[in-house]
Amino acid sequence: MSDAPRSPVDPRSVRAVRPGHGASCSSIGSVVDTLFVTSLLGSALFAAVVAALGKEPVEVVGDEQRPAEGAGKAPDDEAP
Amino acid sequence: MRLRFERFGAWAGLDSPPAVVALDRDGVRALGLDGGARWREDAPPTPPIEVHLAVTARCAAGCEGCYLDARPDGHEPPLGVLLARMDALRRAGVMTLAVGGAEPLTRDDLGALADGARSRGLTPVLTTSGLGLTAEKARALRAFAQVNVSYDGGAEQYAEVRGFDEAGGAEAAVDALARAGVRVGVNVVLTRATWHALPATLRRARSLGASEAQLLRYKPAGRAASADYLARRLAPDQARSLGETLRALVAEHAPGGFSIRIDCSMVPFLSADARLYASPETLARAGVFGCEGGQALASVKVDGRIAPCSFVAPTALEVADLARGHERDPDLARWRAFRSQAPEPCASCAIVDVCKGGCKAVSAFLDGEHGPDPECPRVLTDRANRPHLQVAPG
Repeated sequence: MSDAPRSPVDPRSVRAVRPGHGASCSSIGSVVDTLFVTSLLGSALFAAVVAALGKEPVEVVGDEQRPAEGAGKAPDDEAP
Repeated sequence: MRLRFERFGAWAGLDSPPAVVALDRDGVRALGLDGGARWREDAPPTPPIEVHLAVTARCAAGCEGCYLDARPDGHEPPLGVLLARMDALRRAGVMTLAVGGAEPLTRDDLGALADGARSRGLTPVLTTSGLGLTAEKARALRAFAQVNVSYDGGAEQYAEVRGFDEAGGAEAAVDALARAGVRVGVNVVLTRATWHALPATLRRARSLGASEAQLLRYKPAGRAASADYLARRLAPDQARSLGETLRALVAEHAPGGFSIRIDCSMVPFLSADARLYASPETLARAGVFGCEGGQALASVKVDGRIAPCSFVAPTALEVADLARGHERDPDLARWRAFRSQAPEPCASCAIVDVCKGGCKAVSAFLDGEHGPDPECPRVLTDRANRPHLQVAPG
């Protein structure tokens, strides 16, 4: 777990939120509620996410997938 | 939360609310962290964040459209092998583990599998037909974050998709899981003949205790890779109406806490929705994923080989080598490259960064190539305007 000191996460730093657990074993699913519901519901989720970012303990994962010599560059579109 | 560095910043997997969040670099720095080599401009692609793990090739249901062509005598890896595969997924920084089969209920160690995933920092979810699920077995699934039951609708719709009617069995499973305190969703496969019943299907699922529905496109894989697919796939007008259909379903269900989810292969249909097409940033911010094969998604076949998704053939990459081999595997690289090399009409599409060309299982089946989804409304229009590129729209 990281015990690094934190400062509040600016909501503008949250580029995408995928709510819920994808429970299909065949294809990757995306909740579409926030595409269509009132901004109030979407804002509530967003506020909850920002609050959680400020208080949940952080564990950095994927430590064994380091950049290697000669590896391909990530595609420009990888960012959500 | 689990956090994995990416070139854009990091993916963060939150426990409450359950969500996977894309943070930019400033957001990561606010958590007191720095991505180091992962933030270099020449950083290689990262492994998937969601992996589908086939825990058995056995299934006795015999669904006509089974995308795996699963059979009762399929291979079933022992628990130790699957736990070792989870070790490999943990090393790769995977966050969500979607357990499936064929039919995972053929195993009697699903609780141990879920516990094993949790202890490795993976969020386990499960998909099942639900057929034969007892109350006792439902309780054993409590360690899963969510269980989805394949439920295509009432008797007529269920039989249309699977070739036999077990709607009652699926409904009993949803009810048993909800009573056991398991968060339960339904997977609804949509065909031309079942599309009209979707509102009733979701109301029924919700009344049984489901809290989410994932809508899935019927795909030409396994036993469904036949000429029959042409009669079962969604009609072009149904595909074009997806945005409006979702708008109505969400308006009905979201205020009551019932979520609607679409699978990656349905994203190209959203290109026909004028409002969504005009604001692709809305799709991106909502975390909508199109074809993520080779990127955020991978599938571990029952023999341990990695595939870009569950509907296509595996690569030569073994799950044990995922953490370090993902970036070098040529097949996965080809899938990743689609966006940067996309032909028209994908190249000029406003939502291509989200959609990434639509379903490659469909393009491989219909066009024989790794290309734009031939059932995408924009692709259909483009081909209609270029008559030398013939496609059968209906």
